[in-house]
Amino acid sequence: MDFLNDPNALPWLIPAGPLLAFLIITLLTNKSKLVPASDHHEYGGHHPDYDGMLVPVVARYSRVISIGVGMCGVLAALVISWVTLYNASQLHHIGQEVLASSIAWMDTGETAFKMGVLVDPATVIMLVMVPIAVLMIFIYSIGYMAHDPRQARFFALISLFAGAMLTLVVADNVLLLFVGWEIMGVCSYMLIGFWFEKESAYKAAIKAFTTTRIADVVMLLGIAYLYSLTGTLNYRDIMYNPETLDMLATTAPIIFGGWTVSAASIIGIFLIIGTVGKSAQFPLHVWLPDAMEGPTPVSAMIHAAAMVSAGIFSLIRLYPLFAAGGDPHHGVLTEPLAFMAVVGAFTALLAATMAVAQNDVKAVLAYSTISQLGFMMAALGIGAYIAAAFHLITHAFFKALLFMAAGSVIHGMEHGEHHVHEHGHGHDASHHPDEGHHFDPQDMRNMGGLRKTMPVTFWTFLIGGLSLSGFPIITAGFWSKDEILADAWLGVQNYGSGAHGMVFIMLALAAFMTAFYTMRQIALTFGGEARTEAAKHANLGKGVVSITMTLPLIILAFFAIGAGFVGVPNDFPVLNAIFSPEYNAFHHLTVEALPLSEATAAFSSLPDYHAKAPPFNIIPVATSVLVALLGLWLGWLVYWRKPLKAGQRDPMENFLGPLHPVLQNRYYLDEIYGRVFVAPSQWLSAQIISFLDRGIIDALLHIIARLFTWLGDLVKVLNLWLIDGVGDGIPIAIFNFGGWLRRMQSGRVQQYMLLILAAAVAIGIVLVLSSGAALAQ
Amino acid sequence: MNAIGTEPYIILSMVLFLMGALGVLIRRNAILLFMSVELMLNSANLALVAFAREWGQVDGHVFVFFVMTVAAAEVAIGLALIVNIFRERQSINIDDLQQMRG
Amino acid sequence: MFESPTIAEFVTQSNLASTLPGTLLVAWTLLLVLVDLFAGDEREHWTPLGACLGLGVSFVANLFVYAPAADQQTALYGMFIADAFTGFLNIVILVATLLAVLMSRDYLMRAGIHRGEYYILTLLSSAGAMFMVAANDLIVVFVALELLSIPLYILAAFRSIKNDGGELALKSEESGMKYFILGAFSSAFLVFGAALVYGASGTTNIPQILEVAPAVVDAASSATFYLVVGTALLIVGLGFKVAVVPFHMWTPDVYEGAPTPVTALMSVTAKIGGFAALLRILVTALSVLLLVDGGVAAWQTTISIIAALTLVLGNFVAISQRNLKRMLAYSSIAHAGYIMVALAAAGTAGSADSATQGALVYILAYMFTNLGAFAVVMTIERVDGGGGNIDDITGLARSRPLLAMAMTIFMLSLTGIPLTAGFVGKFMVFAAAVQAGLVGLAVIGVLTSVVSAFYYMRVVVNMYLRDSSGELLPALETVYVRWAINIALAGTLIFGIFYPLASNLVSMVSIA
Repeated sequence: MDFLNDPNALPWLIPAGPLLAFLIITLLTNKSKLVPASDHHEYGGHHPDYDGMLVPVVARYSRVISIGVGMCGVLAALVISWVTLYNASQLHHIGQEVLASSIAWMDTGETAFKMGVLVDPATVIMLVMVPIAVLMIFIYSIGYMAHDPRQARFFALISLFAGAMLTLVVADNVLLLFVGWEIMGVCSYMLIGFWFEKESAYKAAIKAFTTTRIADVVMLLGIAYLYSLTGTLNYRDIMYNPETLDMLATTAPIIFGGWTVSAASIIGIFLIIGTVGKSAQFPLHVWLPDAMEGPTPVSAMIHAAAMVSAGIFSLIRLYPLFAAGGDPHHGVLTEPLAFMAVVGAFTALLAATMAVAQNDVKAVLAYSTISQLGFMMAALGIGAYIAAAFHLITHAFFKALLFMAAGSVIHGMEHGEHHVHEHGHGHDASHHPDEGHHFDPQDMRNMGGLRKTMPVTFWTFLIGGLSLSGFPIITAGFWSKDEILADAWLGVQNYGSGAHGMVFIMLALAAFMTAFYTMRQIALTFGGEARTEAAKHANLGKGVVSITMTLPLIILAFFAIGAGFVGVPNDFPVLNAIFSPEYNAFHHLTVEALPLSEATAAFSSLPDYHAKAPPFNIIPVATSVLVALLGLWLGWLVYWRKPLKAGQRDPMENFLGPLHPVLQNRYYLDEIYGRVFVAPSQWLSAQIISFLDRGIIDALLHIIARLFTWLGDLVKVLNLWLIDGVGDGIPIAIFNFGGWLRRMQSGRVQQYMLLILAAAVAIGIVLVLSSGAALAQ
Repeated sequence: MNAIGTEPYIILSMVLFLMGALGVLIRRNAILLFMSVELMLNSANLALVAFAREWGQVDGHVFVFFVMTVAAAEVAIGLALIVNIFRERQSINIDDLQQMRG
Repeated sequence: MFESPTIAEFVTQSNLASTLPGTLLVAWTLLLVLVDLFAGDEREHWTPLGACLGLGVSFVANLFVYAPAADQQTALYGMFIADAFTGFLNIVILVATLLAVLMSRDYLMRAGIHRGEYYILTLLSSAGAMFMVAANDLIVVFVALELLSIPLYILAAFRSIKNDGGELALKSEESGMKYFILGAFSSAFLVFGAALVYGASGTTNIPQILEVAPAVVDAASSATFYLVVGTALLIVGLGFKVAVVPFHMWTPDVYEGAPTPVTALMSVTAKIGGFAALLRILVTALSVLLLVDGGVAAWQTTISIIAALTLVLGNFVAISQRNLKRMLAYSSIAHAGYIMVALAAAGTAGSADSATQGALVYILAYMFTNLGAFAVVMTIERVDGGGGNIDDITGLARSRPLLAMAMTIFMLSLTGIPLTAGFVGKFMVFAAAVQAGLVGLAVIGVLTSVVSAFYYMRVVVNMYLRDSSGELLPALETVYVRWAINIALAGTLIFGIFYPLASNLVSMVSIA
């Protein structure tokens, strides 16, 4: 097949595997029947919320086939991605040359709107990360979902999710990116609400869906505006084309007083708002913590490999547009950049403070995700394009690891809880007082001492946690965070830029808190002694479940350390000799996605996108080492050295005093949103239904209906009026010319035939007349 | 040989065609109706044969054979339908068939 | 003209292989008669299965014969033609027949009239349609048309074999009889028209007519008169098959009375056959009737008037229908009008190809959507014939949500809403009309589409917004019908969403 041999066309197939897997599972292998949840023989699930319900159970063979199909799909995607990466490596100068292929999707008069795929440096780095992370998540899911009755459904949806993400990654235009973006939105809705019997789950699903939808509408406006100005949505035509960028940067659509806002800025801000929703930035971050209601592999998918990464990835893709008109490397920020810097830095700090006070093992990670995404957004805002991309990749690896490790912990805790029930351990004093009837396997206060029963999980979680904290030198998180801080410091040092200074301080603070709450989490979960019976017996058991749930952790742990070394600055003391003797590999690759310096030099409105990486400076390095170690040390001091006893209050509660409940309740933002947005809109929609719908729309519909019925009747009446009058006398009708129009649809065959004859005569006459005109010439 | 030109045949066939069409329109009896349709088809056959003579070809004759074969098949179907209708209604008046209209 | 060859020479010289899709289907059908004879009580399984296999065999043969043939071939000394036009329409016909067979088995079982010959007649009729789209000679047009029609006459009357005097049997009988009488009547027009064209040009071969016709027109003799009147009569004869105003009168009566799968089948294959012949005769053979100055065919005015009348009448009368099958009958008249718009556009010099391609895409979209809609109607019809009114689908969304969703998508596609196949078809047809300078016709088309939204959306409104008064509708269909609906739905959506798919498929079609 030519298709497979053409390196340009091959990327089309990358999303095909998972998408096909989705179709196959949905259409063919997802056969289920309803059984009562109490039937333990048929239904091997363990979710108490199903009690008393009929649950659909998928036949065992169908589960196995579904898993197989899903795995095949993602493996195919992985293999084709690698082949594509190899093909990309064969290009002389990736960036200036790319792999691209497109088809005309819809003719728009003179030109055609093209849909296609593109492999440039930005795609390459995502193709390294996404398929591997997704594969790990799939492997992990086999174990995690082993006892769920709706495995087939799960694998179908998560395949679609992966397919949509890969579509987004290889897309060559903003519209196809948006398509993948929206499919992911739908998948996240269905997967967050996967256990829809739980009220909290379906509410979380709706919340995630509506919150991101608000942002998506704004983003779509931005896309439409971009298209109306440029006539294309292709990345290469816009982002790699200085002329278009210059046109966008110098077009001035809106002027407030003396302040001119360029079209690029308006479009940029619209597009960024889309990401604010998708990547859960303040003020649209509220859906992400609730998204924990989905199965843990889904959390890993949303938080690491796919959804939130997609938001940042789209910003990286569109970065040249945001920077057009400014010069971030010399301290001049455009409106979109400033917007990103402020929102990102603020979110990074805000979310970090919330994470400190959470007790749910997954909630801590959720807030840390929001915070880390803030890092990336702020980095982009100050022009640290490469640092943002770098942090996106490293974060994806260690956050996927952390989520899946946390999922293992939860699974182990549930296992322990079952064990306790089955072996008749009575309640004893060591149980947490809050436990009551509902044992919460996600509450860190119920854990403790898990390092002994779940050693693999502990060590991998530790590696992921240290990477998240930015533990110096050996972890990937250190290198990417350090690069962000170095970029910020450069702006402060050389140009005295206030924005850069703000970002530097806020991110350093956030990094400190990150280290602290990560250590707190590790200590509460794994340190000290078990605080409940369940924790004492927590483990993953043996067999397939245990293997499939630990193997991905080990692989990802490798990446959580190793991924950092591709981006060691080439003037970093000592280490540069090992990791970057000639150049910083990551920097060298990623920067090529941006327009060339020679090309942009001709346009005064455009910055030099290929500005040099920040030179080595001891201040940002020292800062990042210091905040990481300080945070970890403090956490160790408070939580590991003196482990929490069962029932003991969290030391932070004493330390923070009245602030603690505020943080724990997320600054009451959800409640505020409920009062300010949700309640009024519910009231408004009720009003609209009662007034608009019944009063106006119904009336309008009635009028239209009347009109058309009347018209239809008119035609009928005309028929009667024209044709009636000739009783039964068909022979007479032949002579009576008016008779041939007798009541058209009379049911009488001969009248139909009469009409045919008459029409034949008429057609003959018309034809003779029209060809007569020809003959007359 | 060709004392008579083609045109008289064509005029005759047109007249026959119209007569057949009028018969179809006027007759109520289904069988007579079919006979009228046959008349129309055969008027076309006459025209075909006349044209074939004019052009000195067999194409027209071939066409005629096909028309005759198809007409036979049609009649077979038509008569079967009429028998069926007669058994149900004891009538083959075409005007009885107007249950559906409007 | 040629010396008589041996059989082997005949087979190779005549290029019989290019007619394989149709001839194989006929051969298979004759075998199926035997299978049905010996299948005994098992025939309710074997005969439909055999019919599906036969369609598959023909489909494969069609791929072999037509896939590489962007350059056309003729067979049987110019009687048949095999080109992209034929290949594409063959596929549409085969898929339509497959869907109709899937629907039929269920319908026949429910109505208690399961007979093997039903499938045999269905396949023969489809073979007729396939010969018709491959016809390159007026004789073949006529014979294929009859092969297409005669089985349909019997199928329309198929319910009357119960002979129980029931209302449905009477209706079916009346439907068959009406269809037959009118069909025979219009066939006579077709034959007479063919005779006159033959008389004027001295040949029945369509490309040869094209060669000699200019001289005939220039001569301005009685031959010219024959040619023009012959054209008029051909338009009448074929116009009846495709059911355009004013030859549409049989449609509602016949569609209502015939068994629903038969209605679905004849609403598609008969129209395809008729339009293919109209396109071949008017665009290929008689494009010489082009006026020199404007580059517009003489028949364009006629076809435009017919198209406009069809659009207006079909869409407006559909509004006042209560019976779903009758409404779909008028809607199918209206859709024939849209295809007529494309045909009219093909009369402008230079836009014949784009108009033909538009017509083909429209036919494809119409095939999936209309069969799907009929399949849904069939699932809610009761054995006694009730349940086919627009009020009977009230509340369908609650009792059968998936079925209601499918019906909604079919209605959207019939209206021509984007992301459905119907939109792609309408878009291409209107674009061709505008390109051909028929802006007025395109405007009428768009306006009547808006009118059509009213009666299509009424179905949707009934399903979703009105509360069901009676009991919930039970699931009557079997897995066969479900597959028919699935396939139709997939076609409607795939060709709608992947916009370039259909236009790429027909891009190499050219018959001018």
